[in-house]
Amino acid sequence: MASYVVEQKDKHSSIKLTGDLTAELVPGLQAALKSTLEQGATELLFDLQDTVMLDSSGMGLLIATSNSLSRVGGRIQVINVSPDILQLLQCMRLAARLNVTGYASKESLHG
Amino acid sequence: MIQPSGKATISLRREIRSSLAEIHLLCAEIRALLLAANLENAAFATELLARESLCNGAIHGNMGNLDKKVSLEICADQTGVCLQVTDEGNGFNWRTQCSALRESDSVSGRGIHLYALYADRMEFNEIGNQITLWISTKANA
Repeated sequence: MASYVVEQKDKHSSIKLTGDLTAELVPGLQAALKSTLEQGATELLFDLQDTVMLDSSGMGLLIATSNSLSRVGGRIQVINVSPDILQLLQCMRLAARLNVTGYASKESLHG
Repeated sequence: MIQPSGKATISLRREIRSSLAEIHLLCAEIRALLLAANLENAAFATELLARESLCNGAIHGNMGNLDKKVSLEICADQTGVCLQVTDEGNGFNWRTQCSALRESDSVSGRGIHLYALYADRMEFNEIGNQITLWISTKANA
């Protein structure tokens, strides 16, 4: 079963996933993201180092999060994605919008 | 019954409830089978499209009704994968589905585009409660 850890410090939140970002995980993660946004996070960093599969539900959640952040002048970043997931997001024209980077090219929001 | 183009390396038939948990377990089984059969080149695309079609069948076709089933049949050999998913719903008018890419900030509606990106060929049955997808083992998308 996939899981996630959300760590927030002021306006910065990092979400570390363990396992796949798919329809089964989305409801719980969505609630956690809503909470971190309500607590003032405007910079969200998703680490998908341990994620093999991203389905359309997971993509929808990332897009919805990006949309929410855009409304408050915030930013999303998705890092350490596998080559398969990077290609998927590029083909779906989401890589630029979600600020996606692949393995070994981490660019931290925290500087 | 669907048929692979050559001698089948993998042949699997399953019927599950319209449950995300059962979909997840079935997709994990598919992933393991493909990797064990040295079909790594098709593993990501196959699992992605299996998930998409199973979820569509369960959520949209069967309206999330746990009493309704979604069935999956998959055959694979070294040339590619044939995947067929059927739900117990009334189908939909697939002929009118727009194949254009949704706006990048759209939260939903990407299923048809995923099929087009990763499958060499797709077919719906007449009423639209069954999809058949052919995925080659060459480089994806």
